[in-house]
Amino acid sequence: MLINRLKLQIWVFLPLGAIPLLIVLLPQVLPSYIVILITQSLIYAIAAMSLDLLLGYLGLAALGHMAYFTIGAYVAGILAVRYHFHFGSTLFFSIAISAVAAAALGLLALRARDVYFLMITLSIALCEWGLATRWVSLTGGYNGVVGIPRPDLGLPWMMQDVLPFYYLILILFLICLVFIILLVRSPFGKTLVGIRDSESRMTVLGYNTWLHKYIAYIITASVAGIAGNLYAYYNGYISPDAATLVHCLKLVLMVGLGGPGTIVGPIMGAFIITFLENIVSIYTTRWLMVIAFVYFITAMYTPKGILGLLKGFQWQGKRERIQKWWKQVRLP
Amino acid sequence: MEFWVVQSFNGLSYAALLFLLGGGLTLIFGVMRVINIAQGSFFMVGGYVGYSIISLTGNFYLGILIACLALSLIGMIIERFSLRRLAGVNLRNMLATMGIALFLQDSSLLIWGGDPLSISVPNYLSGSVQIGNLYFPALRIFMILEAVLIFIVLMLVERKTRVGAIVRASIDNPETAEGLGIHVPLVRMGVFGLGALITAFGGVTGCAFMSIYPGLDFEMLVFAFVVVILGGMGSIPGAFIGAIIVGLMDNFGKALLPELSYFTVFAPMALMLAIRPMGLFGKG
Amino acid sequence: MRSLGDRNLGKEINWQKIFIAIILLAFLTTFGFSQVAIAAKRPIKIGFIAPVAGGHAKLGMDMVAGFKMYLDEINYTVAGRKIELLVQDEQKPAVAVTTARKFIVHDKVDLIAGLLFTGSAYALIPVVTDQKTPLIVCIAAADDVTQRKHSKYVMRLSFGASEMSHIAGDYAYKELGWRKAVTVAWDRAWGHESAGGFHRAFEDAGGKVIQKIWPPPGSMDFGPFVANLDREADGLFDCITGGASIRFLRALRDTGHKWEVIGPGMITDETFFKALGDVGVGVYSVFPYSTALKTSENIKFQERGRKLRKGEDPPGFFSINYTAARFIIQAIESINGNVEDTDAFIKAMKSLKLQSLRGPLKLDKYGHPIQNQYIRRMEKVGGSYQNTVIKTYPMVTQFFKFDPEKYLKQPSYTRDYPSCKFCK
Repeated sequence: MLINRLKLQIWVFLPLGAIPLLIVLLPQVLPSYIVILITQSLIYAIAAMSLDLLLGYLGLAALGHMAYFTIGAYVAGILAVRYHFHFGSTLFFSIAISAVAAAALGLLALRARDVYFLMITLSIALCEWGLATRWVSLTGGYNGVVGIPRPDLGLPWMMQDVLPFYYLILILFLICLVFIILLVRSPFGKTLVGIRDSESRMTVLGYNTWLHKYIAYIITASVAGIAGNLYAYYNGYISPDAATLVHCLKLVLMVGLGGPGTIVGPIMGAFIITFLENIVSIYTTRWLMVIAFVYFITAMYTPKGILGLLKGFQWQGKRERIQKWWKQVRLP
Repeated sequence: MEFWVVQSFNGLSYAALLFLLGGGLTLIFGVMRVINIAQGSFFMVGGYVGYSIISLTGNFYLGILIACLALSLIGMIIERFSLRRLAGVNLRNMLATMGIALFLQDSSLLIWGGDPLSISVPNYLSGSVQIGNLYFPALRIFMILEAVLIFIVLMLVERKTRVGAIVRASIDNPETAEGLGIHVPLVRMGVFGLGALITAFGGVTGCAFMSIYPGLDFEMLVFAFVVVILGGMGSIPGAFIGAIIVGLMDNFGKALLPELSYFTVFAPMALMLAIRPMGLFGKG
Repeated sequence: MRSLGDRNLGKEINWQKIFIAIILLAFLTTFGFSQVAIAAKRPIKIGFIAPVAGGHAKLGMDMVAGFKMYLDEINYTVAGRKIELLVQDEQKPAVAVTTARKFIVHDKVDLIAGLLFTGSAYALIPVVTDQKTPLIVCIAAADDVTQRKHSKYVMRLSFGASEMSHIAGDYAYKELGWRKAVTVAWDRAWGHESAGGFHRAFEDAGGKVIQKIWPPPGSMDFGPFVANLDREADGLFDCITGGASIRFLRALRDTGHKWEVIGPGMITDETFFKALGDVGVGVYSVFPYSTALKTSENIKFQERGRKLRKGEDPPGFFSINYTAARFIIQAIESINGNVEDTDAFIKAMKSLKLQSLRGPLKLDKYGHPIQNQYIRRMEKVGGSYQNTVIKTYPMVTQFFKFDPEKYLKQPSYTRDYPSCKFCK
């Protein structure tokens, strides 16, 4: 029993533990394009983690979460390009404005349940898209905000270069990761899971479930705003594309693919989708088909994502079956 | 006076287009609890199939018929082999239908190429009907008639026929329905096929109006959602009224206050969500 | 809610295994691919970015095919060096930025070409300037790319939004005899610049623009817009491009009023002929090319192109990219294949004058083409459609007849600039 548990630990957690080490050291030797993609993956991973908190831990299916990502990105773009704000300030404002928006819109969104909640969050994202395209004086309309310069941190390493920027994103990613893990492990986090499992029970127990959901909504929106802020700096450019239905679904796919309710799952999902999108199109013009396949298979056959698959493998049964097979093969 | 008549007519024909699009979405959701991201794709593929048949045979109505059959077949296959297991799990069925939508888009590009295509309509539909000194394009009139026809058929079937009763029973209480001998899985498959069918029905005419090109599917999807959110997910009368509201508001908005163009589409939706999240006729 | 646990395990696990295998394969391929790329040799590398998948796939594929047609004809060799063309999907501007970075930093391309979207062009200017890599825009027509936001590293071999519409304004007044006009253009930079150019040139010649209408991009129904058009106007400037052009022209016809229409070449692009049909006949357009252009070069090119495209005429975007490839290669040849010397390459590009299939072509000091603009009218000739060339404006610059320095001091064309003095 214990040995099997241990083996499971080794199989699953060692690779997971090695990954952070790899992530810090490997980029020094990897080709720069791969590092660029890893950087992009980390940014999406932050957004995916925030959605996971809402979706996986709280059980609230928020389709339009990219709305806050987009707000964070536009705030960063407008402040950096037009008013020459520094990185620290744009980050602060991205978080603040996303939080304020979530506080206001959350009052509206949380009135609905299930599919209507889904639709409201989607509508928020669509309205934001409409606003971004029409309010040309603020957002630059369809063409968005262009020429966002990389952060100037006053350090000897220029953020225009691939590796320094990567480390900046990595540090922020790790901060968000730690924050979310702490949140999830805290009593607040446990309450969220309780609400997901049975809201009526939590209400009966005396918890203010609405307040918990509201606060979680604001927190996750702020984290998404951070991701958006970094996205603006990464691309140097932000447009209303970030708030479309397709983009929102992409984030949901990342969470669903990796495994909702496990912080690590959405991170993996972010990496897989980002790499697939970029690498596959090098090899084939039919890359849309590949993405379609991923969407479909994720929905159909991996309800708990890849992490769910790994956990679901019956390790004990497998071990015995492998032993039996080996005996059979050895006999003659 | 002229202005109001012409604009109202335009608004109503636009509403007809929106209903043809949103009707299928709401029907599928109402019965199957599936949010069909591939709705725009069904519309577009319906148009493409119609185009091929009409180019081959020259018969407009045959094109509509074959498109309906083809799409309902595709719909039933999709339901049988995938959506069956996902009903009710919202995000997963959105992901699955998104995959289907992308697949249909790329397949259409492979089969029909990327050039915009035009559906040839019969002569009596390509001109305008002149009343006084006002011109009413015949194709728009036809779209309105189609939408009204579909609305009446759906309402009648739902309310008055045995089939409608069977469908309603299967949604409300599947276990009891099964117990009564109703083959629920078959009903579900049939309904999804029906949703695809009416979308294709509207798709051929809609594409004749707008011309077909890759990218049409996602361009239209947003409007389908707006109509359905406004009218209430799952309600056919809701989609009908929602389409009329969006059609007229958008039309008059563009004519009178062109700077606010997208607002006239999104504002009613936002307002509705603020006041009544489940839409006009949605069930809480 | 159903779970997968208790069902048909054998069938389940197979799918799951396949799925994981594919993911792992993808990762391995990624690393493998990166190793191979490093070990690759060193020919002249051109990175081409165009939307070869998705909604604009046909346009992107035409761009690539046209570019490749020329490279095929010279056997992918110039000045004794091999040419390697890397093509990647543009998808959307944000992805174009990542792709450009990959091309520059990873593939070490000598120059980047292509680009359909305005957004991509603007987003790439800072990137290529920073990395000192030449960018040759092969379609994207946004004015400021080679005006107020110009960079020494960015050049264009296609056309500009207002470049074409200035001519339209001039022609409409002087030859079509319009005195009052309305403009209908997409409410985005492309439409603003296009309509703005027309407005400027038309009023400069003595005309009056009495109405400017801006349908939002993606509009499905132009009914409300066309119903509102001021019929006092003698003609209409149309910048509703893309697939929507077809339904816009139809909507115009449905008003019952006979409108005379002029616009940029895309409104009657050859790829739309089938879908447009008779609705487009009589529509004027301005474009630096037409498949019906009767120069001996073009006639021969059309023949070769038709063979390649299985009987289909090579359309506008295809031909523009063919010429772009030819221009670039000739520039490279003139510096003996030494593309690594970026400054010399840029100098060669800006001093080359090419007699191309669309007429004479050279670049101005901002990197924008100086070329012929043709007034075309869509006609039905012998059972098929064509954009007949009825007048040539020779060697037009992006500033038309205005002084470049003064022109650049003014703001870019937007919805409100030039202001509509005669609008009601």
